[in-house]
Amino acid sequence: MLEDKIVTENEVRNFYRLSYIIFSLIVVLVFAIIILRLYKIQIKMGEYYYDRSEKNFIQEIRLSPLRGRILDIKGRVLAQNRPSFNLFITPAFVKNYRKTLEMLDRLIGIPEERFNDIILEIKKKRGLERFKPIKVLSDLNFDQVAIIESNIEELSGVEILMDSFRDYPLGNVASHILGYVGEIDKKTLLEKNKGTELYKQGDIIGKRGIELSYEDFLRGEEGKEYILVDAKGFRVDQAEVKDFLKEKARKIPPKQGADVILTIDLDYQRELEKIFDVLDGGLIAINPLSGKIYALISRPSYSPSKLSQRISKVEWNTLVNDPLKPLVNKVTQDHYPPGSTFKIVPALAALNKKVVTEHTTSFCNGVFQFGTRPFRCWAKKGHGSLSIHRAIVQSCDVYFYRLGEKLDIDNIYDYAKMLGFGSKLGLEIDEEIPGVIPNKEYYKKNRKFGSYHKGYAINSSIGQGDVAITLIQLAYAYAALANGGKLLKPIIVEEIRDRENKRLLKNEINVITHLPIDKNVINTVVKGLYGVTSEQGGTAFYQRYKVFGNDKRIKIAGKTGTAQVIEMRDGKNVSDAYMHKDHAWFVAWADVENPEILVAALHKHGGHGASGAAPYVFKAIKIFYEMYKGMEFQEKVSTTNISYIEAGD
Amino acid sequence: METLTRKKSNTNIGILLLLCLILIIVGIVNLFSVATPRGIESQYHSQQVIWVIIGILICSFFVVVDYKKLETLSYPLYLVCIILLVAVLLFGKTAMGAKRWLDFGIFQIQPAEITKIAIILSISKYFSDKKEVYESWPIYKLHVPMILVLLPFILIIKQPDLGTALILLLIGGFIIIFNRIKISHFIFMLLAGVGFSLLAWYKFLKPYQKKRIIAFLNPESDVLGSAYHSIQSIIAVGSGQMFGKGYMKSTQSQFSFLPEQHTDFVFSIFAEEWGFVGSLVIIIICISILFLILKISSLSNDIFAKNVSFGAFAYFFLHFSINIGMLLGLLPVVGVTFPFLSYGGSSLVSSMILISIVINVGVRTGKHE
Repeated sequence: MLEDKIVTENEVRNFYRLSYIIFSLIVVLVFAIIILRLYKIQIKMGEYYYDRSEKNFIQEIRLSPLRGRILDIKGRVLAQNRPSFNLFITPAFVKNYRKTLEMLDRLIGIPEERFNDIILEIKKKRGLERFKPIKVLSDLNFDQVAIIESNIEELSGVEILMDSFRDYPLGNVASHILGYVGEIDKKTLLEKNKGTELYKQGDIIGKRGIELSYEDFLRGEEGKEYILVDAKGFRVDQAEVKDFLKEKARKIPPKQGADVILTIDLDYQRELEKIFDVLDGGLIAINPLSGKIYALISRPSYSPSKLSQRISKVEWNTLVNDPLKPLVNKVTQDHYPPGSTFKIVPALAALNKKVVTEHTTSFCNGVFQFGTRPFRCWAKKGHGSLSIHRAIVQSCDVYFYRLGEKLDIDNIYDYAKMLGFGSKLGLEIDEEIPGVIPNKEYYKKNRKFGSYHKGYAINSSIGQGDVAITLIQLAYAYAALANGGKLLKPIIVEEIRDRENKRLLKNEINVITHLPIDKNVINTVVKGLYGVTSEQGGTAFYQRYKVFGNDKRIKIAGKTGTAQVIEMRDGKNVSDAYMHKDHAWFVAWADVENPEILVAALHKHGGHGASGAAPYVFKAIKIFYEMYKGMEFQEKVSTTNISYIEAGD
Repeated sequence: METLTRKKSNTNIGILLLLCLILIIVGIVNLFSVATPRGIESQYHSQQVIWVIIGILICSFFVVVDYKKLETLSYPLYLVCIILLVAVLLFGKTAMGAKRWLDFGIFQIQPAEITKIAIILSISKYFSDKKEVYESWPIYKLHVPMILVLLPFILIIKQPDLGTALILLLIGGFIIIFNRIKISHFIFMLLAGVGFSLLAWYKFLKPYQKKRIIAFLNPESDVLGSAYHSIQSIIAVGSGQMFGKGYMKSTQSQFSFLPEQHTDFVFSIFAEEWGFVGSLVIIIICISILFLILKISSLSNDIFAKNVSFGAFAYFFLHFSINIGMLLGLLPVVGVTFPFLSYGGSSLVSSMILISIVINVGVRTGKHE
């Protein structure tokens, strides 16, 4: 060591003094920053981070409520829930999507069109979403479940979870009453929620029928469960860590949906489904005194079970584009000119307004000349001289042309509206359509060239032209005649009960209007309608005979109707003979003195009302008396003796 | 004068020992909570106790042997460390994508940790030998200490262990600055450092290291990705609020939301369970330890002693501040432990050795002049 490099203590001390001061200041500065930061995180934002830490490990699980059942009047199940096994994939835990899906395809088969959809759906998920299981296949059968379970080791990220599945045990029976369910769409989600979180994407909601209109009762209330998860999203054994859940209620059980009990009788519905074997049309059977519906059929039917599942686009498009429109309820959502069934309207109007009396007669020679235009009766040779009674019985067009001319269209309009035509009756399944009842104003609006003239009134009086009604309107208008003048609101839900059997709703007879029509007038018309089935020359006399023979115990009043299919003639399928055929209507009730059952049927392209629709109605009435009144009828009616030419209306 | 200094020095040593003991005990108690997720008994805390005992045995050597003798061992120890670091790269045990440990059968060591001590000793030795204390150091005369730092720095970067390498660099830098280099040269060093960092960014940093730094700059950008550690740590600390969730009540550790919660992130869990109050107590202990070491360093008149204890100060200051800064989201996530609290033998024993060296200096202050 060199002499000059030896330093004194003081020199050393002075040399380093500045360093100590600087580093002391650095320590103070750095730790001041740290303490300030700590203060900000723990005190100022402490609550926020506390919340964040809770959300880290407490996961809110929604417990879906079990949907209420739909039962018939005798408590038999029309719609229920059954357990189903669904296959879920959690993207975060899948190593190779394609391999996993290929393996699944080998094991249980994946529909080809779903394959790429699934991959896309999985790949779309980002961040925390990747830890949520996605439903890939629903409703696996037991064999499929067993195959998956035995290979689960190789299928990481795949699991089978149980869920409840909407089940319609009767197949297609009553499909248009029940409707079906499905996943909620985005528009409905917004409408239903209105800012709340009532529904979430992927929830099941009623799409049609009772399922749709009684959704709020059927759905029940969602429950909640708070579970603990670790960083990987794995469920933590709750018992081990119950201290962490103190402040949250552990579980709020879901509230099951209420049972909707229909006025429908399954036995009757089923029998009518058997006999009403038409391709396209509708049938409704009601109690004319209470307005309660016993049976309702629309053809073609669909399978509610199938529609409630995830159906492919192709299947859905086939349904929607089917020319027979299976999704449309032909009882409430389809309207046609009522034909002669509409004749009760001018009849009631004319009698009540004393335009004619019971005894006024008129002569039919087969044609009614209005100005230069001839209006023809369906009976080309004419009916001769007849009163209003025989005019109804024989459905004479000329008689009603004259009434139409005398009444003019606005009177017909008023009485039609009175009877419920042209307005929604308020059946709580699906959206009813109102139909069309034209008046002068209507023609002013809808006919650009040429204003209103009486020809329209003449056409309206026999239910042709622009007049269009639904089958349910027909049924309830005739029910008003049957029950002496009360237009009733259709009732299909008897009551609603929750799972504790507490009654939440009970439907009672609901009179829309008491018809301001003289009782005698109604009686006159009813007599005529009775004549339709009971008098020689009645348009449904032969058809009644074919079902009941000479058995006159049950007095049936009814009316045939034939809607001319005009629009089809300039349609595309002109060559198709079927599409040319007229629509057949028939409506009837029994017994005239003690009304218990009213049945209305529309057989599209069924031809004449008498041959195309009346047989189903008579059979339905016969079954009603057999089933509920214990009456027995002759099995087979011999028609060889009868020499009556079938009526053409 | 001398007796007064001695007395002062002895009180300082006493308090320093006590504070370190408190930290060690808090560390073990905290490890018991941290490493026991949901009742699964783990061995971390009991192993830490064994390391404390081993540490005490090793430390007794560093206290008893005069630091003058330690000074002569500086360069040989440095050489041993370099050999060990090369050995790690050749035969090291790979864990989490990095070779950091040497496996000796019954125990594993992290040579990088011991290198920190070797660096402090050897640079101190260098300045002590020079004895050129009258003037500020010009930078061109600092090539020896710079090489002393950069050689192990490069070897550790290769492992890769960015945190330790940076700490090493900073410790070296601290000691060099402590010996008063010229301001203009200091600025030149800073610029060189920035240049080096840029070079490192494009040449040497592993993608995961880059990701962590990017994530630090914008933590909410990728919650489940690189910023995950940072965010989960802040949530842990923040959710502790004023008084904490209580001992063993950390949800962040119980549900494994915070990875490496027993090593680098151990203080987050402490802050979650003991809140602002508890954290502040620990921070005050840390600050006290730092000032006590500085005091002991300043009381000594021996240049090696001053430098070596200042090196210990640099070590603790950098570990405390970088670790806490990282947990609070002030700094990017780099692997830096919290002395005495974090689990791990190498870190604990290194910290204990450095404290022993400081005590060694303190005890012998005034004896060699």
